[in-house]
Amino acid sequence: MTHPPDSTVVHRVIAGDVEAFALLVDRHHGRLARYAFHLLGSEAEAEEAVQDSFVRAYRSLGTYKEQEQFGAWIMRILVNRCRTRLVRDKRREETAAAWLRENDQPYEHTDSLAMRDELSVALAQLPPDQREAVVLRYADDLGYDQISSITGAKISALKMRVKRGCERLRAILEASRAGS
Amino acid sequence: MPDRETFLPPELRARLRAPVDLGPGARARVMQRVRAAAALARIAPQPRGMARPSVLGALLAASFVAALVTGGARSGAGASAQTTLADTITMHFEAAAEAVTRAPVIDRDRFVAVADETRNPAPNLTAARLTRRN
Repeated sequence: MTHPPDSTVVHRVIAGDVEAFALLVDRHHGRLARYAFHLLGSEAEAEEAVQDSFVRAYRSLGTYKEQEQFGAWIMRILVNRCRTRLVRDKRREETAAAWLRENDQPYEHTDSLAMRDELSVALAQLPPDQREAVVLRYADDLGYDQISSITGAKISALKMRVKRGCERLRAILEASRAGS
Repeated sequence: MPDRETFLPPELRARLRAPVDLGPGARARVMQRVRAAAALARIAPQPRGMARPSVLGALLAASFVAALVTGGARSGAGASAQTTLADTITMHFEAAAEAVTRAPVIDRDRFVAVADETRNPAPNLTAARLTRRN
């Protein structure tokens, strides 16, 4: 049995066959889940971001251009969702910390790093732009030109982010292994 | 690619590529939300609010463009104090705001004229008498 290409499925969905969208979900859910989990560090957050991305993609199917691959398009939506969530979480964290400081309360990091595995903890310590580049490069196995079209960053900047991110990741993991 | 080989050890790359499972019903939950979005789109297919311009909005936009054009024509006619685009925009919005907030003015002459038009005609001896019909 041959599987229809994404563009054919997209046409079916636009024509009103909502259930055909399940094919796209089956095809792309795995890689989106992996990216969101590595970026956000929690399964619950990752699931929400992935769901949001699929729903947004469904609503915007009218703007989807056939020249572009559906996989790259929805990955770009997810990358933006994750960025928004990271900014929002950082703002919340800062607000909570400021409130606790003003009220003389001890500040405890709300992000439960202790609950995560070694790799998640190490990834969480990378700056978001480096984390994004490393995960797209190594977890999703994308080329720099593809990462560039998804993130909007220049290839030279991406190469630098990947290099620095990997160096830092290795250093963090080595330090954690030496300490344990 | 050589840089992939040197930046991270194979063991770490394999861990990054390992599948992430978001639970047994994760895909089904995505489809639930997609179906809900589809149902919502069927109920409210037309964009609402600012996406659908009102008649007032269209009139305001048209008058704004007209003010820009006439303002530009005046300033291009060699007036000593040239009106800038910012001046024209400010002037337009001030005039529009004034027109909206100003109390309605009743022109006495027009009021009397309208009253004259609508009041009962003066008794006319030649007119037929009104009779009650049961």
